[in-house]
Amino acid sequence: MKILACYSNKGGVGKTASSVNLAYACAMSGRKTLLCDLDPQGASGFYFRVKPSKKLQDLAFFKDQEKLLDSIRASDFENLELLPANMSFKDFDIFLDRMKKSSSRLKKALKVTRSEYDVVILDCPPNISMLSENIFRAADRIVVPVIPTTLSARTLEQLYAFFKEQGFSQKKLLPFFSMVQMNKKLHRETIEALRKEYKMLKPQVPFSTDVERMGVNRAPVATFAPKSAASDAYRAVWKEVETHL
Amino acid sequence: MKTKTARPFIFMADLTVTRSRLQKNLLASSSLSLMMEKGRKWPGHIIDTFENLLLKAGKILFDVNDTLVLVDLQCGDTAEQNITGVWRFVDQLPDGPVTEELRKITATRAFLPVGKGKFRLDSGLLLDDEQKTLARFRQTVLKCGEKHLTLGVTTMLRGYAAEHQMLAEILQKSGAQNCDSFEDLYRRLGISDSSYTARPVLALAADTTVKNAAVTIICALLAVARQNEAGAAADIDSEFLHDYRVSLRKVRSVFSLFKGAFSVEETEVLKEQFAELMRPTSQLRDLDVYLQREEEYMAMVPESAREGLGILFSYLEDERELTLRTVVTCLRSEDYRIQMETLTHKFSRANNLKNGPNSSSRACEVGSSLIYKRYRKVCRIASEMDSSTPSSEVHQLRIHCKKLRYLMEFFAPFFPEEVIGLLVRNLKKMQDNLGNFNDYSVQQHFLQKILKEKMDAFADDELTVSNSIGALTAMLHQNQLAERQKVEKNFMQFNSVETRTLFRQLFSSEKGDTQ
Repeated sequence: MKILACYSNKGGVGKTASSVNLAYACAMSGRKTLLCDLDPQGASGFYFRVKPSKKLQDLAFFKDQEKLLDSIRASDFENLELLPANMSFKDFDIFLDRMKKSSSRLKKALKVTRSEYDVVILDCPPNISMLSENIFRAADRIVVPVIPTTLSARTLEQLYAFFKEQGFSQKKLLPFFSMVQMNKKLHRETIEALRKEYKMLKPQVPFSTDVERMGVNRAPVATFAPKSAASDAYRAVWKEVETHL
Repeated sequence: MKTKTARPFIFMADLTVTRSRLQKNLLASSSLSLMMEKGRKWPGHIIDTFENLLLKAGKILFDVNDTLVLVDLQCGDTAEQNITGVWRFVDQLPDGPVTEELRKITATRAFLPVGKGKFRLDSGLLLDDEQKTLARFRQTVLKCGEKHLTLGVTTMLRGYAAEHQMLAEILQKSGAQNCDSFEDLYRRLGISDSSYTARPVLALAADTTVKNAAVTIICALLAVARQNEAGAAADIDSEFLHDYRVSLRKVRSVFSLFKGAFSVEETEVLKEQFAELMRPTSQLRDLDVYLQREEEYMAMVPESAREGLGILFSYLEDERELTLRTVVTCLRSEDYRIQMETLTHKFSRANNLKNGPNSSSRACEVGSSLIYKRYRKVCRIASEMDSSTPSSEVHQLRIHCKKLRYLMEFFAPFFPEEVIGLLVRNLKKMQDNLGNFNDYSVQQHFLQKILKEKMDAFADDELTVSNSIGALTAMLHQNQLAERQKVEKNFMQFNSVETRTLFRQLFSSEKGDTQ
């Protein structure tokens, strides 16, 4: 089983959209996939119409394997299941702080899913915290959506610096451009500059109303706009990510 | 840690389970809803083998619109596979999920249409207030002539066990019933449930006489042979001829094993008559066995010998064509029909046969004694075997084992089914080993016969074919030696304390007797 995190220390960069669409592409490639929503807002679950988990309260995620497995829900798509979040996930940092070996707790909790899934995709909340340290340890690879703007470039820089400082392998990071608008000069220039500095994934996901419509359709973009540029882009991102797993 | 799974609800219904019927049974207060998609109607067939091996394995196979749909009636798994062209044997199908399952059923029997009708595949969903799917079901609506049946299966989605249960209950309220009798399924569709079995289980009363038991057994075996005649003549698959010949061979063994059941003169006449009946089909069976092993033989010889083997097999195929014609003519002849009908009539009543010296002995006692004697003989020969024992004795052991097996099968109704079953299974491993040993020997003789008598048929290819025959004979000989090595070990396994005790308890007149 491989763990793929979808992470950014900046909000609004398309993390959940990426998690949902990459999980779908992964499942369609025939891999048994679990999308684990770590964001208390539960947006991944919302996109799949799965209601928040009631059972998995407080410490249960880290301490009760049976409850964790019981909280997994089938999606409407083959090979794809979900572990929906709930509001108590907002206190993950507090729980982790109280626990021994607090930075490897997530990896340990996810071990129970090992025999069932080929890939576990983590939809992560946007901050650098005890939980994100857990994510960096647990994940085999981390996809990082980056909007080609100055602010996003800065956050990516911060992330690489944090990895270096904490001794995490920077090789785990797989940044890619998200919400790209090539008609904007700033986007074109930022892309050019960042590609020189970092090993960004080749495909880039365009800014698309189809992705925005995911909230209305409550489904991955490939299911209702299969021929759209956004759908093609996520599929291409997945194909490249796949080679790194 | 294991995850919780729930069994799907596998159902049948006389009427179509419609959306309106389901919706009616869904509580009005519920926030759930049902969605159904009705498929198109396609003409198609239900496929099974002559003896309904699929149904007996709890599966049903449809061939609809160039798609094979295989439903497992025990776990609800459905496999689908597109096909093109005509097929009858599993090895004629391309690889796929259905092929994989059918391979487990039989590689030798032909799959044939057993029912014809119109098929429609519907699917349905149970949805929540956010239109999330909570449980699914699929149903095939079959119309075979006037018969009408819906066969369906639900799918439980992880995390929605309660909702799946709810769907099952709604389906039940809408007319769906548990599909727990597979035979019932064919009956409802007007498909005759094949009660055929190559090994009929007979009802023999405890006080049956030897003569009555022999007549009952022969009568049943003749029926098996007769049921296979049409399939053998139509050359549907090679198992028809095989079962036909095995049942006639068993009839012959009844004459030799049930000594004194009939008068000596009549026994001799009947023995000869049945030997005569089998003669026209023996060459065809030999060729079938050879041709079935083409792939195996090709793999056994070096690359350089494969060309010659290919020529040999093509010759054997031509030979089979010719031999088959003779067999078909014979099986469809008036003489044959009269002969079989006369024999069937003869064995329909014990009084049609003259009494022998043992006619009125009790079959149960005679059977026990015969089995125990034969068992002791098998043990004596086998225990004296070592690496220097000549092959002829190994053949003798094989024949005694076969006779022991037949005796246990014939007299099975007098003894507890599970114990007889266990003993037969224990014997089977040794029999398989000895059977292989014999097959390799027969196959070498077959090749030698071709070398001696048939080489003219190969003209310019004579040398190539002879070389290949040489290579294959060498491999067969090696395999025969390898089988020979296994005999002692297999006998040791067969000759366990448990087996010895069971044989003694069941068949010995002196229950305290030890070996």
